[in-house]
Amino acid sequence: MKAKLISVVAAAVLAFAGAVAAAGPANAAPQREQLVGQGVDSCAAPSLSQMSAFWNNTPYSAWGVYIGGIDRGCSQPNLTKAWVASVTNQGWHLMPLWVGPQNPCASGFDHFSTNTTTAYSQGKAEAVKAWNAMSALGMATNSPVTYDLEAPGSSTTTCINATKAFVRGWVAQLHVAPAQTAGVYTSTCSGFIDQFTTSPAPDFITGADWDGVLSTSSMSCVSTSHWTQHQRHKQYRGGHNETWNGVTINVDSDCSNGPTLALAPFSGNSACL
Amino acid sequence: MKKILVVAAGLVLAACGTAQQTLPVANEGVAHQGNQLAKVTPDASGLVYEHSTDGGRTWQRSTLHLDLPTRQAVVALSPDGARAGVMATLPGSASTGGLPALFTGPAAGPLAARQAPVAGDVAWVGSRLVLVGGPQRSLVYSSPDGGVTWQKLDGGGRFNVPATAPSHGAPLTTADGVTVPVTAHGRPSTVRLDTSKDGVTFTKGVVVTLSGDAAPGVAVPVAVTGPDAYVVVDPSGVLHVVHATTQETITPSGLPGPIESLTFTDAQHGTAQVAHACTSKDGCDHTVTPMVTDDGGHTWR
Repeated sequence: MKAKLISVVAAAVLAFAGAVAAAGPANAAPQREQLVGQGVDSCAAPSLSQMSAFWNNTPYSAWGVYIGGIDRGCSQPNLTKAWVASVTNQGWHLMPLWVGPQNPCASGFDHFSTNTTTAYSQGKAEAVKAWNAMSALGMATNSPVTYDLEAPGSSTTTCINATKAFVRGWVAQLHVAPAQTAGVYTSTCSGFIDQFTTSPAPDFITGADWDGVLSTSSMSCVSTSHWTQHQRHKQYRGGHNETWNGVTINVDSDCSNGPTLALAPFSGNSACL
Repeated sequence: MKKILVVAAGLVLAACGTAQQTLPVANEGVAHQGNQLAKVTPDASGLVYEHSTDGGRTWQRSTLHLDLPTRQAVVALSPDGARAGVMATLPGSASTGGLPALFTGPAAGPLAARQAPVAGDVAWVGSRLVLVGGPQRSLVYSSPDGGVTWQKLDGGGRFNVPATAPSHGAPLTTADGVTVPVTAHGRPSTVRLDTSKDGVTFTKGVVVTLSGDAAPGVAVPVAVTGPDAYVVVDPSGVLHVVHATTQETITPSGLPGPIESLTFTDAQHGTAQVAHACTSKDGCDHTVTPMVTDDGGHTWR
């Protein structure tokens, strides 16, 4: 399954490298597409007019949206099926994120169990919830979705094993046909990413590495031999205000060489490779 | 030395001033109280904290260990210069507003790691520490003991923060307490300058109406320029100069790109650090530039 996915994604990149952004047919459902380029993510999805302000003559092609989960920070009054259709028609690539229960060693959140069997089941349950949320938003069955897994200050062996089990459950359930593309977001130096390679492994990672470097190849603490087949997004800068076309939004900065939700593939900034 | 003071709607600035106090680098992680300076810079093991009591001529250095590397950190000195607080925001999603790593202690060091409820910005009010941050910067906390224990002052929970929640800007240390700018999102958006003398009880202050669009989560930058005097940086690019209950809106020239933050290092002489980013489709560099104005903020160089 994974080898097939990787070959499909790689072929998409080769076929569309250098292409100019182009939205698909007006009524097509957004689906998994490849992106090489810059994006941002924000706690709450902006309004359509604010999205337009950040689209026109800006470096950005992708937006991370927090579609649900018990630990999600912000409500999402703008995030509807119509919103998804509108922004993807404009050409945006979306990076859906799910913020469910967290590592038991991470303070301040709801947690999954320290028992690995229970954690695995909870991972599967969160995948089902994410699937349902994405379906309600009109996202296609092969859509990528990322689990937002915040880094604990420090982690015990028990928490590490529970987290690995949880992620395996998350991925396994998303791979049930019709298979989705499973991702995990976490700090690259949390010590987890390179431990997520046990099958079933995530199809891609979103690494938080605030080094300011627009390159998914350059990720602190992540082996260069892992996640190499167009399987990386990188959050290279944390929250800050940006103003484009008179609109200011607090965003994190992202660089992509991986799957997104869109109407067409796009290669906008090769620095992100 | 010739020294010309210019007063424009409360913004006290100077031209042809005396030799400027030399700040170490253009860096957001710098604080000063009189001749005392503190700064934080990232290094391989975390942060380097430096403290000077002689205006930057000599420095004492120490290292603050971080569990995760970051380049986002702020430092605050208490009004008497006795205490310091360093808040680093560790990589975490926009859903959390980043993860906190707080250190407090005597300004001369050593600083000790503390548990903070959210990542954000800190300021001292006497011996009390005020913290704003969290998702959409909707939360305000206060600590009576330098970050050991916390009391939530404003905001709801940490999850599912309403889109209508106001966003709190970096708390600004003033002569008689602290000011927290509160951005309310709407059409139009506004900034209210709330003040507190004890870091616990806040008084609602002047409201500035913005002409630009500040989305939920945006805390509009505000700089303090003197007693009851502020500059509010409008997303549209204009500056609102506030003094007590009077306001003047000016269109500045010479300021680079959209401004992320404006901090006066010496308001009397008009020197400031201006952080800006992303001015073109091809370039998105984050830069902090020392700048000066000598005509009340109308022109900058």
